[in-house]
Amino acid sequence: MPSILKINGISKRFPGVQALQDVTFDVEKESIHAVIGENGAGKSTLMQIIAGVHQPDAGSIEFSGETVKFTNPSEAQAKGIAIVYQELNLAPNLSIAENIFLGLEPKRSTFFLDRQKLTAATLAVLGRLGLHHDPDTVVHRLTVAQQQLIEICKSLVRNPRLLILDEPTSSLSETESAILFRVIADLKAHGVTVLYISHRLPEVFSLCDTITVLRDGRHVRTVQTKATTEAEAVRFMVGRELLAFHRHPVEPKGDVVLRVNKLSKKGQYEDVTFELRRGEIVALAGLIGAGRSEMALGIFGSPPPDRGDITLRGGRVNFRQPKDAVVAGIAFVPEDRKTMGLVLGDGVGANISSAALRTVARGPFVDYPAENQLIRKYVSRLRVRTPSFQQRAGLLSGGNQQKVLLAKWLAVQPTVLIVDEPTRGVDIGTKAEIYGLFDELVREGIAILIISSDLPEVLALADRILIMRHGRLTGELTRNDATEERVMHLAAIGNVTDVTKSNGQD
Amino acid sequence: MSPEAVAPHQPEKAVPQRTFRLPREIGILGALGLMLLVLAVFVPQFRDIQNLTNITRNFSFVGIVAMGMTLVILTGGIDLSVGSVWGMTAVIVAFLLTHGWPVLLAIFVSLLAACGIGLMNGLCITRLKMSPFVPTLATLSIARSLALIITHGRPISIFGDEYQSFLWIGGGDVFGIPNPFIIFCVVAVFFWVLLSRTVWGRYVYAVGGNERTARLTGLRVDRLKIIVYILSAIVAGIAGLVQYSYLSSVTADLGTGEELAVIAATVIGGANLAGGEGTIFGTVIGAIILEVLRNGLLLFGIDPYWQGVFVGAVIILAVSIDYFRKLLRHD
Repeated sequence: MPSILKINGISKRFPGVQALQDVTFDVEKESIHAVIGENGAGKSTLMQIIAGVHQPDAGSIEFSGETVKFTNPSEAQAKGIAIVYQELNLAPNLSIAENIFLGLEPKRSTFFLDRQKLTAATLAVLGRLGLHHDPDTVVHRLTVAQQQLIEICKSLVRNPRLLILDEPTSSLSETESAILFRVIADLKAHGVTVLYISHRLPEVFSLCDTITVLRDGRHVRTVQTKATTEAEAVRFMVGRELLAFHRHPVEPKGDVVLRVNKLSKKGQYEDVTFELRRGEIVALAGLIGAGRSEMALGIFGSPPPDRGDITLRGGRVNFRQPKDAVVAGIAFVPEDRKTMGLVLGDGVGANISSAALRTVARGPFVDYPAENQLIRKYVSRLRVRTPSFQQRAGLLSGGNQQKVLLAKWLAVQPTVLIVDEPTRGVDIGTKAEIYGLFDELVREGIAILIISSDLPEVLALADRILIMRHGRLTGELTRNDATEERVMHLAAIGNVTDVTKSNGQD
Repeated sequence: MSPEAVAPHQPEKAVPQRTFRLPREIGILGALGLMLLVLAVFVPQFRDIQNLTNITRNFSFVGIVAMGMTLVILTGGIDLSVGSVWGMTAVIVAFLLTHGWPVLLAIFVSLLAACGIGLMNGLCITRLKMSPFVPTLATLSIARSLALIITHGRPISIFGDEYQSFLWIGGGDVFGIPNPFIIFCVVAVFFWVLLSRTVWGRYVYAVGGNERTARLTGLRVDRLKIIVYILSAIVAGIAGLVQYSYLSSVTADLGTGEELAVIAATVIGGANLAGGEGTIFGTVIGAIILEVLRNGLLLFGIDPYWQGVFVGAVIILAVSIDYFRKLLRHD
C-alpha cells in the first residue's frame, strides 16, 4: 500500500517545552496506525498539527501526494481529515441530530432545514455504530461515553479519508469499546485510514496494523504490529524496562475508619453498605455508569445522599457540603482533573495549597513562607515536574497534573482518601509512582477508597474489591480471590443471589 | 491566572517567573505613563495643582466602586446595580439627615440599605442560580426607583453648620489632599490586602478560575459570592455618600450610568469577565486612565461629545493588549 500521509521532520515548540522535534514517519493508506507514547510525548500535538489546529515550526506534511499547509482545522477537514478529540466538543444544548450534522444540515429550498432527511441520516449513522438513540435527544442528557460515540458519528458523516481518534476509549466501557473497534475495522474496509492514539496497549495490539512510538517529542520507531510485542513497545515508550508493581499489604488492618450504611440516592445508588479500615485500600470496581462516582461524591456531600448514614471514626457524620467532609478529614480526588480537580489557569503552587490553605494561615492572612514550605514538601514528595511553583497547572502534562491534584489533597492530611480514577490518562511511569505512593500512604495509616475502571489497577492495588452494578453493590472479593474474570462477572452480570435480594427491595 | 499573591517570598524558584509575569499590568501602566507625559508636556494647565486635585477627586468615586466590581468580576460575575445603589444610598442618607438623624446613624442605615441590595443580588445568584446579569439588572431598576420614591424627583440639599461634619467627609481635605481620594486609597488598600494577602482572597481567585473545583475543594462558594456582592453594594454606597457630601445636594439620578464607567475601569485594568483574572492594582490604573483621558480631552479642547468614542477605543485597546500578551506567551 502507498502512503496517504507523510510526516517530514515536524518540529513544534511551545513556551517552555519542545513539544515535537524532527518527527518523520509515513502512514500507509487504508491502515489503522497507532501512535503511542507517554503523556507529554507529543502525540496530541502531532495530531493537532495534522488536523490544522497548530502549525509546525519546521517540517512539512504530505497528504495523498500533495504538500499541505493547514492554517485552521476547516482546511484540513475540506481535504478529508477528521479528528475526534479526547475532550468532548459537542454543543450540549443541541440534539444528537443537530450536533452530528452541525454545519452540514440537509436543506430544502436553500434556507429551510429538512427535518425528515436530518432524522433519517442521523438514524443511519447511529445504526452504523449500533446505537439506538432518539435523534432528537438533547446531548447533555447523554453520558460521557455516549457523547464520545456521538462525537465519532459526527466525524463519520464528514466522510473522512483520514480519521484521527485521540484516546477514544478513555471514557468508554468494554462493550462500547468493542462497538468502536468494529466500526474502525469497518471504516478501514471502506478505504478510510485511521490514526489511533491510545495508552491501552492491548487494544492497540489487537486493532492496529502499524505502531509509531513517540518519546519526549521525538520519533522512536514505526513498526508493524506483527513484528513487535507489548513489552517491547513499553520499552520504546519509556526507554527502560518497567518493574512490575508490588503491594506490601498492611497486616493486620487497623480499626474501621469509615462505615457507610445503606447509602441511597434516587436513580443513582441504592443501599450501599461497606467499611473501610485503617491501612486498607478498597477498590470500587464496576462499569461506567454503575453509580460509583455518584456514591463516593455522596459520601463527600456533593450532593448528599437521600438516605443512609455514614460513620467516621466511630461518630455519625452528616456532610451537607464538601467543606464539612474536608474538615472531618476526608479527601476526594475527582476523576476529571481539568473540570473538577484543578484550577488550570492557576499556578501549580496555588493549586497544591488550595485545600490546605487554612492550615498555613495566620488568622485570615496567608503565611507565605509556611505555604511555600507546604508546596515544596508535596512537590518533592510526589516528584511533580514543574519549572516553578507559578507554572500554570494547565501547561503541565497529564501525569504531572494528576500529581498536583494528589498533592493538593495529601496536603490536607486526610484520614480517608477517596480517589476516583487515580491514573486515567496518565503515563506508565507516573502510574507506577502513584501506586507506590498509595502503598506508602496506607502504611502510614490512611485508608484509601479507589474507584477505578482499570481492572489490572484494581487487582494490583486493592486489599478488597467491592463491585457495583446499576447502583448496587453486587459483591466483594478479597485480594487473594480476585481475578479479572470474577470482577467483570460481578460488574457486568451481577451475583445471582445478590440480584434476587436487591430485586426484592425494589 | 494565579493571584500575584504567590509571587513574593519565593526566594529561588520565583526568579524566572517574576520577570515572566511582570507584564501583567505593565502595558496599561505604560499607557498611563505616556498619557501623563504627553499631557504634562503639551498642556500646561494639566500640571496645575487645582487640575490634579480635581482629577484625583473625580476618579475616586468610580475607583471606590471599581474595587468591589473587581471582586465581582473575579468570581466570573457582573454587578449592574452599582450605579443605582450609589444614587439610592445618597438619597437615603440625605433623607435621614434632613429628618434630623445623627450623621453616623444615617450613614450606617443607608449603607445597611445598600447591603440589602447586595444580599438580594447574592441570594438570587447562589440560591436561585440566576445568571448575575439578571438580578443585578433587576436591582438596578429597583434601587433607582426607590431613590425616586424617596425624593419625589426633587433635589435634597443640605447647608449650614449642623451638617458641617457630614459635608467635610467629601468636601474637606487633609494637607491639601481631597478627602474622597483619601477614602479611595483606604478602600483600595483594604481590597488589595483582602485579595492578595488573605486566604479568602485566594478563594475568590479559585472560585473564578473554576467554580466546580472550588466547591469540591471544600470552599463555601455560595457564601463567598454573597459576600462579594454585598461588598460591591457597600462600596457603591460609600461612593454615593462621599459624592453627596462633596456636592451637598442630591437628586435621584445621582450615579446613573456609572456602572458602565466602573466596569470599564475594571476591564481596562485587566480583569477578565470570564473570571479568575484581575488585580486591584490593575483596576486602580484603569480608573485613573479613564479620568485622565476625560480630563485630557477637555484640556485639548475636544468636543465633549467625542468622549464616549475615546473611552470605547481605550477599552478595546486595553483588552487587546492583554490578548497580544497572551498570544506571545502561548503560541
